[in-house]
Amino acid sequence: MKSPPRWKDSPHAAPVGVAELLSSAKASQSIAPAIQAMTAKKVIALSAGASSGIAGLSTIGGGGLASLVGGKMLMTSGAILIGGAAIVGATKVGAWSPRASETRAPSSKSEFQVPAPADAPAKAPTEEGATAAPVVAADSRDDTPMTLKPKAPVKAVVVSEPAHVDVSEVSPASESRAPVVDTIAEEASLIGEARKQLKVSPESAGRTLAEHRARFASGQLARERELLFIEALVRMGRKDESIAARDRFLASETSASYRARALALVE
Amino acid sequence: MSTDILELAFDEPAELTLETVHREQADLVWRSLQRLGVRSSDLEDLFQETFVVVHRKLRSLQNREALRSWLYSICVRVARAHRRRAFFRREVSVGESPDEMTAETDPEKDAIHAQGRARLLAILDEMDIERRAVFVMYEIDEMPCEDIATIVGIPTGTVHSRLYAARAEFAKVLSRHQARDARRKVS
Repeated sequence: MKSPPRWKDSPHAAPVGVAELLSSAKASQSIAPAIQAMTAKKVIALSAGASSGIAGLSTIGGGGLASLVGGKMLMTSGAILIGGAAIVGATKVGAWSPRASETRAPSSKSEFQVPAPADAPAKAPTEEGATAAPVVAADSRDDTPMTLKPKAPVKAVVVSEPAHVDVSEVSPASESRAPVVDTIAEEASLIGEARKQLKVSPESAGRTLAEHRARFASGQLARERELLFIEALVRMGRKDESIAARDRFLASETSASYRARALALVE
Repeated sequence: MSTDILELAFDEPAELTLETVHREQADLVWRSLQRLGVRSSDLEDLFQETFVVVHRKLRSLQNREALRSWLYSICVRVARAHRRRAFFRREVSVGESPDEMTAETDPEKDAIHAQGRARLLAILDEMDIERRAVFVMYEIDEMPCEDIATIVGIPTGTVHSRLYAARAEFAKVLSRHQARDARRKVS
């Protein structure tokens, strides 16, 4: 089915004045890496908060809401009628975020930083969990499943055999800063290869994982990599090192499912 | 984006967590909110509000392939609620700050550009929120209809009909604005 020509491209087909208006339009902007990193912390805090019962969500009436802690606040006085429910008085809507000047500060490290291979302890991003003050939209409760589309075929990315890399000497400092879209396929390919190698040759898997760590220290699949790395050490019989790797992983990991997987690998 | 790749790479699909959704779909949420009319001053708050809802509802998502349209539907609800709250606060006309409106260096061009953009935003603000989003995705972000269909979770043919309706609504609001301008000039 052919799409209609855009108004911008065919001004004669558009009402008078539209082409000029559209020429002044600004396309939607991508999320800045600093904001993504900052909000990632909030998301992790939210997950951690929920699991420990400090999510702090609350609602008022049939559609209103009020949840607040910290951050900037908007206060609205008067009566608000939403979905037949009346909220009378002062309604405070607490925003989750710190001030803009704080949020725009560039983050030098991704929130999903994996444990360093050295002994340096990783920072656990749990402190902000208690201050998260989510706001729930009045009519955001009835999300319904969408219609499904058939799965598009995806070509696997072939990666040549990596050169020998000493697992113990690879530093996350050499991480790649390539855009997510460009690197995720490469990451997935390396991790998939390591997973296949794991049962037949954990040493080869270790080298592949080391290559992943060298190229994508804080990559999208860093946590999967570290779990596979622990498993490779277990399979190689290097128990002390596997325990140390597990402990480093647990020191920075807040997700219950990942923690459980790490604990299951090394009893 | 990467769900299919991940499923090929791993024997078992990775668990869909809030962190995963944020990592992979933050840009979709961020841009969708803009397309739905959220101003840059409110964007960060609404973005986080969206993820609070995602956090609450993630377990109800049955099919991961519908993730993007599911997220978009949450963005629509969050933006719609925000629009209503903005109306009650009488802040609907709050626009962008001057330096966000244009990158022109010529002051005269700046002014014309800013005026056009303010008019455009005023018209879009009067439109139905979902038609507005389709209009913005097609006419301003210049996305193909197939991509819009994937995000919105509707067939491509429905995108076309929604775009047709959005254009008609846009033209109607524009003519109302033009008539009002003409009356002001006369008086």
